[in-house]
Amino acid sequence: MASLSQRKVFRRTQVTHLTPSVSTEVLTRDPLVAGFGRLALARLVGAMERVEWAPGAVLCAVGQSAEYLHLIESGTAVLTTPTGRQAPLRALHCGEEAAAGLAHYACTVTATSQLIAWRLPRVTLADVAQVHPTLATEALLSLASTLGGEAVGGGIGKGGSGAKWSPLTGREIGGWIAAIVLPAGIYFGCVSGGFTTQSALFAAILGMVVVMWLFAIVDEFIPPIIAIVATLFVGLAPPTVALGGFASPSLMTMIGVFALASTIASSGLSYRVMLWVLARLPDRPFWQQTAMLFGGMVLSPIVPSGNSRFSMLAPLYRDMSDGLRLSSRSTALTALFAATLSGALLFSPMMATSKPSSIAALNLLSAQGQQEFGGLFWLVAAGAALVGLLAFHFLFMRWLLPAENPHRLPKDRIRAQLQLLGPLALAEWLALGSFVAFLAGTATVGVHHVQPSWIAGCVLVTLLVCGSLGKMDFRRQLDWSMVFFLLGIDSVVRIMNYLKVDVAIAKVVSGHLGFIGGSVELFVLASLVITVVLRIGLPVSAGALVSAVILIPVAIANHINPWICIFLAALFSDIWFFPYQSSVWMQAVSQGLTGSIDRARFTRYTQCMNLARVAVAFISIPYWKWLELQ
Amino acid sequence: MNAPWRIILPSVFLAVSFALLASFNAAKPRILVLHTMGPTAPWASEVDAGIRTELLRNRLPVSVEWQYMGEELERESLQTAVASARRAIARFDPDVLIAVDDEANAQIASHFAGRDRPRVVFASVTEAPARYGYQGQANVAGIAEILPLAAIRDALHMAKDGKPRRLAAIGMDSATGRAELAQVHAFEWGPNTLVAAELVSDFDQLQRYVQARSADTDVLLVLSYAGLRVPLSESAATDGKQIAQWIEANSGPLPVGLQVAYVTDGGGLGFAPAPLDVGEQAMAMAIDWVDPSNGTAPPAMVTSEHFDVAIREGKLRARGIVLPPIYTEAARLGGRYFP
Repeated sequence: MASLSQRKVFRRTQVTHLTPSVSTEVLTRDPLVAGFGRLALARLVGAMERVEWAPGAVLCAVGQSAEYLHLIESGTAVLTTPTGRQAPLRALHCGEEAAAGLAHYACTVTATSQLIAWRLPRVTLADVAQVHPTLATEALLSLASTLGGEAVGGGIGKGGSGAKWSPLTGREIGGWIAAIVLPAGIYFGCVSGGFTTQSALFAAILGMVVVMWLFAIVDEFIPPIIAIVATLFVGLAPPTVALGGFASPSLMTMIGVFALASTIASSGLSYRVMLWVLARLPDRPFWQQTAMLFGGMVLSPIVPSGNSRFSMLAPLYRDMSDGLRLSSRSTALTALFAATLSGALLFSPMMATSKPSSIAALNLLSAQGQQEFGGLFWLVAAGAALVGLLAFHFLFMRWLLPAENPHRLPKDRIRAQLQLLGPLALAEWLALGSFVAFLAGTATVGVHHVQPSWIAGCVLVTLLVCGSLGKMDFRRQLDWSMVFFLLGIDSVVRIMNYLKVDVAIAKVVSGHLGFIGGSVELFVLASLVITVVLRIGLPVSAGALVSAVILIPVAIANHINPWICIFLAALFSDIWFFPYQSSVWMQAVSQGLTGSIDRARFTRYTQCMNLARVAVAFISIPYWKWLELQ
Repeated sequence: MNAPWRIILPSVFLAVSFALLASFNAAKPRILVLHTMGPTAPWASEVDAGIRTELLRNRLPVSVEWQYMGEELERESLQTAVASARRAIARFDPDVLIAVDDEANAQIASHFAGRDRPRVVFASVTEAPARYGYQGQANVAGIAEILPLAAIRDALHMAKDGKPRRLAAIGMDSATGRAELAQVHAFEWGPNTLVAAELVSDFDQLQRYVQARSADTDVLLVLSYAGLRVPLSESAATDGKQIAQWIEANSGPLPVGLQVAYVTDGGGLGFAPAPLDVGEQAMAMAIDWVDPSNGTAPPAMVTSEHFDVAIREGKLRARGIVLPPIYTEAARLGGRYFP
């Protein structure tokens, strides 16, 4: 609070407001705001007010409401701390408290000569801080520097001040050139080859999409949107078809499931459950690894993205590796990492909601197929593969990564963590309740006859109404790019069906896959080859979906259940040989988690699991026949 | 590669893509549907339904626009409606003009016969195509409308006791009315006899004619009447329901409508060309013509011999008319059966 005498001084201050005649020089020379983007600077200029102070006038007083940041154009001033220490004002500004979001000024600034300044209201500064979130930190550092008499901190980037252009790689250059040239080439090639205008045009659009994915020149969700816009632009399909994916039940499933996953993570429920499990499991590497594996698997039905699952498991992996004091490049650390990664990935083809592409691919099935596989029957049909993959995982872990660790898990620390978390918070109860309700609802579709999509919708509504998922969470925590990516692909598939391009593809592909002759074994091989080849260029979800689109007509022609085709595409799309093929691996790399593992051993484990995926596909064939899927 | 290329290459991509898409869009075939009536007129709306059905089947990207002369015909004058239609054609510059009904063909489409552009598909034309100078023109194709007079003759034979009947016809004095009347005159009605036929210009004349036919006629054929004016009120057309209901209530002979709207408006029995079929055929013809894979040869001129049956059971029962069930079922299937 300002003292009475200070207030009196302030009241006696003569302030002269001058006619605005804005000079941007004062902005560009001040380090606090100089690095801002042009938009932010323009907004500041709009709010700037020029003021002139007589010698002895107080610009800011301790305890006074911090309303303005002053940028000094000319003149000198002295800064007085609350304890009375005085120092000349060296900075080109004062009143940083207003920019830092503090309620009151922390010190007094008095003009020592005729002083001309430009003052900026805190409201405008708060607006600009939305775009430049480092403003508050920079202002505090500036204040600390002024008070301390020496430069403090620094090096904080002006976040959002403008894109920094990195040079294009050769791959990107090739991609852009192909994206510019290839569509036109495809169009004219198709037209001269006797294709209909609409088929030629769609082939050109599809070619552009594939090129963009292949060369990764834009984020993967963008090409399907471009395809939809281009389709509507030229009237290739009506909006009901071109935007059909966005009117499908998958939209509700995705939003509901993403919302639930987000709430489970943000409420801390997933972390608490893993701590609880670790505190009770036997203190042996096998159980620690199994906890990570099953932790990821339990998350799978409601966390479709492998990256999201890994994000939830990664903090626990770090805690465990630290707590167990696992040495760098040790087998134990590598085994724990492998279990964590498998926890995020292994279960992904096993349920419709465990993999984004499976949610979208479900729409490729007939209405009755969607009803049949939309719930838990997908898991039942994938049962043999699931059991097989788990068996192979444990086998390869024991064979390739036989972990022994002399250190004990710090259970006391885990218990302390749990104690600190206390009883379940309301948000956790809601997340837990929604999770259980979703699983129970999906498992009992046969009783209540409500589609899993609408159950996901009910979960979403519950989380929204109860406030577990606020407006900002809804905007930021849901993976909207993934939603648009998958529904965009769904729409592209609908356009293909509308234009009967799928029939043409089926004809071409069937011509080359005539050797299948109704054999499921040969179909599995064909699926493997097509999916693995597609995955060389396409990301996981796109690869799985495109593979399913190509193979479903072949499956139907060979009297093979189309679900088997979707399942195989999902299963084989998880096979990876090169780092760029696995987004979860790349995520681990970016988080610095891979530097300390034994890469050679881990690679052997990965390749063995790739083979295991092929093996379980074949193992499943008699099981599918037993289920009369075949 | 310098950083600016990160903006240059995507910009080139966008510019090329937009340019290609825009040029494709500008060059894609344009079809203008020109109706004589307004969009809410039963005949026009059913022709449109047929056109839309065909468009749903179509996969070739085409731009389609509609122009209705009916609204301006009712509100203002024929001259205004014609000028407005010509402006629409000049603005849209269609590859194919689908002209529906005789007035649209007489006033607009016939002027394009023999020219390079636009190509003309006439539809629902009751007059002979030669009347509009279409015969032998390379840029004209279409569907001539045949009134289902043979179907009426057969139905009369089955509905009554098989004895020859005396027929009269009444319609509005318009291009369509005149063309319809010409077909009625030209038709071989034997063993029945056409005793009288007239086109009227207002509702009073129609009333007088209907009343005059009570004694000498067994069956009254009701031709087009949409837009018939009431004397002393030149700006407003008489409601179609009012006409149909008045005829049904005051006509001694059995009235049989030759337009789809007659029974909907309150009549008892109607046999009319099928507007849905006309719309589908016209649009299919237009799309075939503009499809580059089909070449540029014009489609053959055809006649639409499909017809709809419409029945209002209560009115027929009141007159003691019993039709074979096949007619009732046909009306029911076509959504034109009223209890």
